[in-house]
Amino acid sequence: MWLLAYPGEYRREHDEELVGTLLEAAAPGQEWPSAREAGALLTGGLRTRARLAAASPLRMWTDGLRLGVIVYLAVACAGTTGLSLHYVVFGTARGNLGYPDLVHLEAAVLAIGVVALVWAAYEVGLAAMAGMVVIQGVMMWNDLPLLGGPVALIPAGLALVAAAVAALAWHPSLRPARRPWPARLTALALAAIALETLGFLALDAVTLTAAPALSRVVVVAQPELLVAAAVLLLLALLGLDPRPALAATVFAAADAAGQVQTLAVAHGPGFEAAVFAQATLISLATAALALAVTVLSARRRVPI
Amino acid sequence: MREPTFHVLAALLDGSLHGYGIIKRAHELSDGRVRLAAGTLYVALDRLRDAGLVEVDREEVVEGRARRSYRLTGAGREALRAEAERMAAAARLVLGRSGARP
Repeated sequence: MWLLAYPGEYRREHDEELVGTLLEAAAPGQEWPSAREAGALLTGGLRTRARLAAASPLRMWTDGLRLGVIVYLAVACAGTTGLSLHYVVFGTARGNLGYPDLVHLEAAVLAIGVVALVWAAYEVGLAAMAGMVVIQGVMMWNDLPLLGGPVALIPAGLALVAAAVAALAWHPSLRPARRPWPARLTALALAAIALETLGFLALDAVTLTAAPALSRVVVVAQPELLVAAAVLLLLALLGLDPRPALAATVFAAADAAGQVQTLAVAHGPGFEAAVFAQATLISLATAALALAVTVLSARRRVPI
Repeated sequence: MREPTFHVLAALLDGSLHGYGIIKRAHELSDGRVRLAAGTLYVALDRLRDAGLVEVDREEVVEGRARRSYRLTGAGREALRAEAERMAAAARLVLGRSGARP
Protein backbone atom coordinates (compact mmCIF):
# COMPACT_ATOMS: atom_id res chain seq x y z
CA MET A 1 0.00 0.00 0.00
CA TRP A 2 2.87 2.35 0.80
CA LEU A 3 4.16 1.75 -2.70
CA LEU A 4 1.26 3.91 -3.97
CA ALA A 5 3.43 6.90 -3.07
CA TYR A 6 5.50 5.94 -6.14
CA PRO A 7 4.37 6.90 -9.65
CA GLY A 8 2.76 4.10 -11.69
CA GLU A 9 5.44 4.10 -14.39
CA TYR A 10 8.10 3.54 -11.73
CA ARG A 11 6.07 0.84 -9.93
CA ARG A 12 5.70 -1.19 -13.12
CA GLU A 13 9.47 -1.25 -13.50
CA HIS A 14 10.68 -1.59 -9.88
CA ASP A 15 7.78 -3.08 -7.94
CA GLU A 16 9.16 -6.60 -7.56
CA GLU A 17 12.67 -5.44 -6.75
CA LEU A 18 11.49 -3.02 -4.04
CA VAL A 19 9.10 -5.54 -2.48
CA GLY A 20 11.84 -8.18 -2.55
CA THR A 21 14.25 -5.90 -0.70
CA LEU A 22 11.55 -4.95 1.84
CA LEU A 23 10.81 -8.63 2.50
CA GLU A 24 14.49 -9.50 2.89
CA ALA A 25 14.97 -6.60 5.30
CA ALA A 26 11.85 -7.47 7.33
CA ALA A 27 12.03 -9.41 10.59
CA PRO A 28 10.68 -12.99 10.36
CA GLY A 29 6.88 -13.00 10.60
CA GLN A 30 6.61 -9.26 10.05
CA GLU A 31 3.65 -8.37 7.79
CA TRP A 32 3.77 -4.59 7.63
CA PRO A 33 6.75 -2.29 7.14
CA SER A 34 7.96 -0.58 10.32
CA ALA A 35 7.15 3.10 10.80
CA ARG A 36 10.68 3.96 9.69
CA GLU A 37 10.42 1.90 6.48
CA ALA A 38 6.95 3.33 5.81
CA GLY A 39 8.19 6.89 6.23
CA ALA A 40 11.12 6.20 3.89
CA LEU A 41 8.74 4.71 1.30
CA LEU A 42 6.48 7.78 1.50
CA THR A 43 9.32 10.28 1.04
CA GLY A 44 11.03 7.93 -1.44
CA GLY A 45 7.85 7.78 -3.54
CA LEU A 46 7.34 11.54 -3.46
CA ARG A 47 10.98 12.18 -4.37
CA THR A 48 10.79 9.67 -7.20
CA ARG A 49 7.73 11.54 -8.53
CA ALA A 50 9.69 14.80 -8.38
CA ARG A 51 12.76 13.24 -10.00
CA LEU A 52 10.79 11.87 -12.96
CA ALA A 53 8.85 15.13 -13.42
CA ALA A 54 12.04 17.18 -13.29
CA ALA A 55 13.03 15.64 -16.64
CA SER A 56 10.78 18.25 -18.25
CA PRO A 57 10.58 21.76 -16.71
CA LEU A 58 7.34 22.39 -18.60
CA ARG A 59 5.70 19.51 -16.79
CA MET A 60 6.35 21.15 -13.44
CA TRP A 61 4.21 24.12 -14.50
CA THR A 62 1.42 22.18 -16.19
CA ASP A 63 1.15 19.57 -13.40
CA GLY A 64 1.17 22.25 -10.70
CA LEU A 65 -1.41 24.45 -12.43
CA ARG A 66 -3.69 21.52 -13.15
CA LEU A 67 -3.47 20.15 -9.61
CA GLY A 68 -4.24 23.62 -8.21
CA VAL A 69 -7.36 23.98 -10.36
CA ILE A 70 -8.49 20.45 -9.51
CA VAL A 71 -8.13 21.05 -5.76
CA TYR A 72 -9.97 24.38 -6.03
CA LEU A 73 -12.89 22.83 -7.91
CA ALA A 74 -12.89 19.63 -5.81
CA VAL A 75 -13.14 21.61 -2.57
CA ALA A 76 -15.93 23.75 -4.05
CA CYS A 77 -17.64 20.58 -5.29
CA ALA A 78 -17.38 18.87 -1.88
CA GLY A 79 -18.84 21.94 -0.14
CA THR A 80 -21.67 22.35 -2.67
CA THR A 81 -22.47 18.62 -2.60
CA GLY A 82 -22.66 18.86 1.18
CA LEU A 83 -25.13 21.74 0.89
CA SER A 84 -27.06 19.87 -1.80
CA LEU A 85 -27.35 16.78 0.44
CA HIS A 86 -28.39 19.04 3.30
CA TYR A 87 -31.29 20.29 1.16
CA VAL A 88 -32.23 16.73 0.18
CA VAL A 89 -32.24 15.51 3.79
CA PHE A 90 -33.66 18.50 5.62
CA GLY A 91 -35.50 20.35 2.84
CA THR A 92 -35.22 24.11 2.60
CA ALA A 93 -36.95 24.76 5.92
CA ARG A 94 -33.69 24.73 7.87
CA GLY A 95 -31.64 26.55 5.26
CA ASN A 96 -32.13 30.25 4.78
CA LEU A 97 -30.74 30.27 1.24
CA GLY A 98 -33.51 29.50 -1.17
CA TYR A 99 -32.04 28.00 -4.35
CA PRO A 100 -31.99 24.23 -3.77
CA ASP A 101 -32.41 23.34 -7.46
CA LEU A 102 -29.55 25.60 -8.45
CA VAL A 103 -27.37 24.15 -5.69
CA HIS A 104 -28.01 20.60 -6.96
CA LEU A 105 -27.19 21.76 -10.48
CA GLU A 106 -24.07 23.57 -9.28
CA ALA A 107 -22.80 20.45 -7.48
CA ALA A 108 -23.33 18.38 -10.67
CA VAL A 109 -21.60 20.95 -12.89
CA LEU A 110 -18.66 21.16 -10.47
CA ALA A 111 -18.37 17.37 -10.44
CA ILE A 112 -18.27 17.38 -14.26
CA GLY A 113 -15.55 20.04 -14.12
CA VAL A 114 -13.45 17.99 -11.69
CA VAL A 115 -13.75 14.78 -13.75
CA ALA A 116 -12.93 16.69 -16.95
CA LEU A 117 -9.77 18.17 -15.45
CA VAL A 118 -8.59 14.90 -13.96
CA TRP A 119 -9.05 13.40 -17.42
CA ALA A 120 -7.32 16.43 -19.01
CA ALA A 121 -10.45 17.21 -21.10
CA TYR A 122 -9.87 20.93 -20.72
CA GLU A 123 -12.62 22.13 -23.10
CA VAL A 124 -15.24 20.30 -21.04
CA GLY A 125 -13.69 21.80 -17.91
CA LEU A 126 -13.94 25.30 -19.35
CA ALA A 127 -17.58 24.70 -20.36
CA ALA A 128 -18.35 23.56 -16.80
CA MET A 129 -16.74 26.73 -15.43
CA ALA A 130 -18.78 28.88 -17.79
CA GLY A 131 -21.85 27.03 -16.49
CA MET A 132 -20.76 27.87 -12.94
CA VAL A 133 -20.57 31.56 -13.78
CA VAL A 134 -24.12 31.47 -15.16
CA ILE A 135 -25.47 29.57 -12.15
CA GLN A 136 -23.80 31.89 -9.67
CA GLY A 137 -25.00 34.89 -11.66
CA VAL A 138 -28.60 33.70 -11.42
CA MET A 139 -28.20 33.10 -7.67
CA MET A 140 -26.78 36.57 -7.10
CA TRP A 141 -29.16 38.38 -9.44
CA ASN A 142 -31.55 39.49 -6.67
CA ASP A 143 -28.70 40.72 -4.50
CA LEU A 144 -27.19 42.75 -7.31
CA PRO A 145 -27.97 46.15 -5.73
CA LEU A 146 -25.98 45.06 -2.66
CA LEU A 147 -23.05 43.86 -4.72
CA GLY A 148 -22.28 47.11 -6.44
CA GLY A 149 -22.96 46.22 -10.07
CA PRO A 150 -22.53 43.55 -12.71
CA VAL A 151 -18.75 43.31 -12.17
CA ALA A 152 -19.54 41.17 -9.12
CA LEU A 153 -21.26 38.61 -11.35
CA ILE A 154 -17.97 37.33 -12.74
CA PRO A 155 -16.40 35.49 -9.79
CA ALA A 156 -12.73 36.52 -9.72
CA GLY A 157 -11.47 33.25 -8.22
CA LEU A 158 -13.23 31.16 -10.83
CA ALA A 159 -12.01 33.50 -13.58
CA LEU A 160 -8.43 33.00 -12.36
CA VAL A 161 -8.57 29.19 -12.41
CA ALA A 162 -10.44 29.30 -15.76
CA ALA A 163 -7.56 31.37 -17.15
CA ALA A 164 -5.14 28.68 -15.93
CA VAL A 165 -7.21 25.98 -17.68
CA ALA A 166 -7.41 28.06 -20.86
CA ALA A 167 -3.62 28.35 -20.82
CA LEU A 168 -3.35 24.56 -20.48
CA ALA A 169 -5.92 23.97 -23.22
CA TRP A 170 -4.21 26.44 -25.53
CA HIS A 171 -1.35 24.26 -26.71
CA PRO A 172 -1.32 20.50 -27.36
CA SER A 173 2.17 20.12 -25.89
CA LEU A 174 0.84 21.27 -22.52
CA ARG A 175 -1.52 18.31 -22.29
CA PRO A 176 -0.50 15.35 -20.20
CA ALA A 177 -0.92 11.89 -21.65
CA ARG A 178 -4.37 10.54 -20.80
CA ARG A 179 -3.87 8.23 -17.89
CA PRO A 180 -6.23 5.89 -16.09
CA TRP A 181 -8.40 8.16 -14.00
CA PRO A 182 -10.90 6.14 -11.90
CA ALA A 183 -8.22 5.44 -9.28
CA ARG A 184 -7.12 9.08 -9.26
CA LEU A 185 -10.73 10.25 -9.00
CA THR A 186 -11.46 7.89 -6.10
CA ALA A 187 -8.37 9.14 -4.29
CA LEU A 188 -9.41 12.73 -4.98
CA ALA A 189 -12.98 12.13 -3.74
CA LEU A 190 -11.67 10.53 -0.53
CA ALA A 191 -9.23 13.41 -0.07
CA ALA A 192 -12.04 15.96 -0.61
CA ILE A 193 -14.28 14.26 1.96
CA ALA A 194 -11.40 14.04 4.44
CA LEU A 195 -10.62 17.68 3.75
CA GLU A 196 -14.21 18.80 4.36
CA THR A 197 -14.22 16.86 7.63
CA LEU A 198 -10.85 18.26 8.67
CA GLY A 199 -12.02 21.74 7.73
CA PHE A 200 -15.05 21.37 9.95
CA LEU A 201 -12.93 19.99 12.79
CA ALA A 202 -10.49 22.88 12.45
CA LEU A 203 -13.42 25.25 12.51
CA ASP A 204 -14.83 23.56 15.62
CA ALA A 205 -11.47 23.82 17.33
CA VAL A 206 -11.24 27.53 16.53
CA THR A 207 -14.84 28.14 17.61
CA LEU A 208 -14.21 26.40 20.93
CA THR A 209 -10.97 28.15 21.75
CA ALA A 210 -11.34 31.62 20.31
CA ALA A 211 -13.78 34.45 20.15
CA PRO A 212 -16.73 34.09 17.75
CA ALA A 213 -15.34 36.91 15.62
CA LEU A 214 -12.28 34.80 14.77
CA SER A 215 -14.43 31.80 13.86
CA ARG A 216 -16.33 33.97 11.35
CA VAL A 217 -12.99 35.00 9.84
CA VAL A 218 -11.97 31.36 9.54
CA VAL A 219 -15.30 30.44 7.88
CA VAL A 220 -14.75 33.13 5.25
CA ALA A 221 -11.10 32.12 4.75
CA GLN A 222 -12.31 28.57 3.93
CA PRO A 223 -10.65 26.18 6.39
CA GLU A 224 -10.73 23.37 3.78
CA LEU A 225 -8.50 25.37 1.47
CA LEU A 226 -6.13 26.23 4.31
CA VAL A 227 -5.87 22.56 5.30
CA ALA A 228 -5.35 21.58 1.63
CA ALA A 229 -2.60 24.18 1.30
CA ALA A 230 -0.89 22.90 4.46
CA VAL A 231 -1.01 19.29 3.21
CA LEU A 232 0.33 20.22 -0.24
CA LEU A 233 3.15 22.33 1.20
CA LEU A 234 4.12 19.40 3.43
CA LEU A 235 4.16 17.08 0.38
CA ALA A 236 6.29 19.63 -1.51
CA LEU A 237 8.84 19.83 1.31
CA LEU A 238 8.96 16.04 1.88
CA GLY A 239 9.23 15.26 -1.81
CA LEU A 240 11.46 18.21 -2.76
CA ASP A 241 8.81 18.79 -5.42
CA PRO A 242 7.69 22.28 -6.48
CA ARG A 243 4.47 21.02 -8.08
CA PRO A 244 2.24 20.67 -4.97
CA ALA A 245 3.46 24.08 -3.78
CA LEU A 246 2.57 25.62 -7.15
CA ALA A 247 -0.88 24.02 -6.88
CA ALA A 248 -1.35 25.54 -3.41
CA THR A 249 -0.28 28.93 -4.81
CA VAL A 250 -2.88 28.67 -7.59
CA PHE A 251 -5.89 27.96 -5.42
CA ALA A 252 -4.87 30.22 -2.54
CA ALA A 253 -4.47 33.04 -5.08
CA ALA A 254 -7.86 32.21 -6.61
CA ASP A 255 -9.44 32.24 -3.14
CA ALA A 256 -7.75 35.54 -2.28
CA ALA A 257 -8.84 37.06 -5.61
CA GLY A 258 -12.46 36.15 -4.86
CA GLN A 259 -12.22 37.75 -1.44
CA VAL A 260 -10.55 40.92 -2.68
CA GLN A 261 -13.39 41.20 -5.19
CA THR A 262 -16.05 40.76 -2.53
CA LEU A 263 -14.30 43.26 -0.31
CA ALA A 264 -14.12 45.75 -3.17
CA VAL A 265 -17.71 45.54 -4.40
CA ALA A 266 -19.92 44.34 -1.56
CA HIS A 267 -21.53 46.81 0.77
CA GLY A 268 -24.75 47.34 2.66
CA PRO A 269 -26.10 46.22 6.00
CA GLY A 270 -25.01 42.84 7.25
CA PHE A 271 -21.73 42.83 5.32
CA GLU A 272 -18.93 42.47 7.82
CA ALA A 273 -16.09 44.23 6.04
CA ALA A 274 -13.62 43.71 8.90
CA VAL A 275 -14.20 39.94 8.91
CA PHE A 276 -13.66 39.80 5.16
CA ALA A 277 -10.55 41.94 5.34
CA GLN A 278 -8.95 39.59 7.89
CA ALA A 279 -9.94 36.49 5.91
CA THR A 280 -8.49 38.09 2.78
CA LEU A 281 -5.23 38.67 4.61
CA ILE A 282 -5.12 35.00 5.67
CA SER A 283 -5.67 33.87 2.06
CA LEU A 284 -3.10 36.30 0.70
CA ALA A 285 -0.56 35.18 3.31
CA THR A 286 -1.20 31.53 2.40
CA ALA A 287 -0.72 32.31 -1.30
CA ALA A 288 2.49 34.21 -0.57
CA LEU A 289 3.87 31.37 1.59
CA ALA A 290 2.98 28.80 -1.08
CA LEU A 291 4.64 30.95 -3.76
CA ALA A 292 7.80 31.22 -1.65
CA VAL A 293 7.93 27.42 -1.19
CA THR A 294 7.37 26.96 -4.95
CA VAL A 295 10.21 29.28 -5.90
CA LEU A 296 12.59 27.84 -3.30
CA SER A 297 11.90 24.21 -4.19
CA ALA A 298 12.11 24.94 -7.94
CA ARG A 299 15.49 26.61 -7.56
CA ARG A 300 16.99 24.11 -5.14
CA ARG A 301 19.34 21.60 -6.71
CA VAL A 302 18.81 18.22 -5.09
CA PRO A 303 22.20 16.82 -3.96
CA ILE A 304 23.11 13.30 -4.94
CA MET B 1 26.73 14.12 -1.22
CA ARG B 2 24.00 12.97 1.18
CA GLU B 3 24.95 10.52 3.90
CA PRO B 4 22.89 7.52 2.66
CA THR B 5 24.41 8.00 -0.81
CA PHE B 6 27.92 7.86 0.64
CA HIS B 7 27.15 4.60 2.44
CA VAL B 8 25.60 3.05 -0.68
CA LEU B 9 28.75 3.84 -2.70
CA ALA B 10 31.00 2.61 0.11
CA ALA B 11 29.06 -0.68 0.31
CA LEU B 12 29.58 -1.24 -3.44
CA LEU B 13 33.34 -0.66 -3.27
CA ASP B 14 34.20 -4.40 -3.03
CA GLY B 15 31.91 -5.53 -5.86
CA SER B 16 28.36 -5.69 -7.08
CA LEU B 17 25.46 -6.20 -4.65
CA HIS B 18 21.67 -6.34 -4.87
CA GLY B 19 19.34 -4.08 -2.84
CA TYR B 20 19.31 -5.99 0.44
CA GLY B 21 23.01 -6.83 -0.01
CA ILE B 22 23.78 -3.09 0.05
CA ILE B 23 21.69 -2.56 3.20
CA LYS B 24 23.46 -5.47 4.94
CA ARG B 25 26.95 -4.42 3.82
CA ALA B 26 26.45 -0.80 4.93
CA HIS B 27 25.22 -2.13 8.29
CA GLU B 28 28.33 -4.32 8.73
CA LEU B 29 30.81 -1.69 7.54
CA SER B 30 29.49 0.85 10.03
CA ASP B 31 29.38 -1.62 12.95
CA GLY B 32 25.58 -1.43 12.97
CA ARG B 33 25.34 2.36 12.97
CA VAL B 34 23.89 2.73 9.46
CA ARG B 35 20.46 1.20 8.83
CA LEU B 36 19.36 2.12 5.30
CA ALA B 37 15.58 1.96 4.76
CA ALA B 38 14.53 0.43 1.41
CA GLY B 39 12.80 3.67 0.33
CA THR B 40 15.94 5.68 1.07
CA LEU B 41 18.18 3.12 -0.66
CA TYR B 42 16.28 3.26 -3.96
CA VAL B 43 16.09 7.07 -4.02
CA ALA B 44 19.89 7.07 -3.68
CA LEU B 45 20.38 4.30 -6.29
CA ASP B 46 18.09 6.06 -8.82
CA ARG B 47 19.94 9.36 -8.43
CA LEU B 48 23.30 7.59 -8.64
CA ARG B 49 22.22 5.83 -11.85
CA ASP B 50 21.01 9.14 -13.33
CA ALA B 51 24.41 10.65 -12.51
CA GLY B 52 26.27 7.66 -13.96
CA LEU B 53 28.01 6.76 -10.68
CA VAL B 54 26.33 3.36 -10.40
CA GLU B 55 25.05 0.94 -13.06
CA VAL B 56 22.97 -2.22 -13.14
CA ASP B 57 25.26 -5.23 -13.09
CA ARG B 58 22.82 -8.15 -13.41
CA GLU B 59 19.10 -8.72 -13.61
CA GLU B 60 17.97 -12.09 -12.32
CA VAL B 61 14.86 -13.77 -10.98
CA VAL B 62 15.16 -14.97 -7.38
CA GLU B 63 12.22 -16.76 -5.73
CA GLY B 64 9.95 -15.60 -8.53
CA ARG B 65 10.89 -11.92 -8.19
CA ALA B 66 12.96 -9.75 -10.48
CA ARG B 67 16.12 -8.61 -8.71
CA ARG B 68 18.87 -6.26 -9.85
CA SER B 69 22.40 -6.01 -8.62
CA TYR B 70 24.36 -2.80 -8.91
CA ARG B 71 28.04 -1.92 -9.29
CA LEU B 72 30.16 1.22 -9.11
CA THR B 73 31.24 2.88 -12.36
CA GLY B 74 34.66 4.52 -12.73
CA ALA B 75 33.06 7.91 -12.10
CA GLY B 76 31.36 6.47 -9.00
CA ARG B 77 34.66 5.22 -7.58
CA GLU B 78 36.20 8.66 -8.21
CA ALA B 79 33.27 10.55 -6.63
CA LEU B 80 33.42 8.30 -3.56
CA ARG B 81 37.17 8.87 -3.20
CA ALA B 82 36.78 12.65 -3.59
CA GLU B 83 34.03 12.68 -0.96
CA ALA B 84 36.14 10.58 1.45
CA GLU B 85 39.12 12.94 0.97
CA ARG B 86 36.89 15.93 1.67
CA MET B 87 35.66 14.28 4.86
CA ALA B 88 39.21 13.36 5.91
CA ALA B 89 40.32 16.97 5.38
CA ALA B 90 37.39 18.16 7.47
CA ALA B 91 38.29 15.65 10.20
CA ARG B 92 41.93 16.86 10.20
CA LEU B 93 40.70 20.37 11.01
CA VAL B 94 39.64 19.08 14.41
CA LEU B 95 41.36 15.82 15.37
CA GLY B 96 44.88 16.05 16.82
CA ARG B 97 44.44 19.63 17.97
CA SER B 98 44.75 20.26 21.67
CA GLY B 99 41.29 21.83 21.98
CA ALA B 100 39.64 18.69 20.64
CA ARG B 101 41.15 16.29 23.22
CA PRO B 102 38.64 14.81 25.60
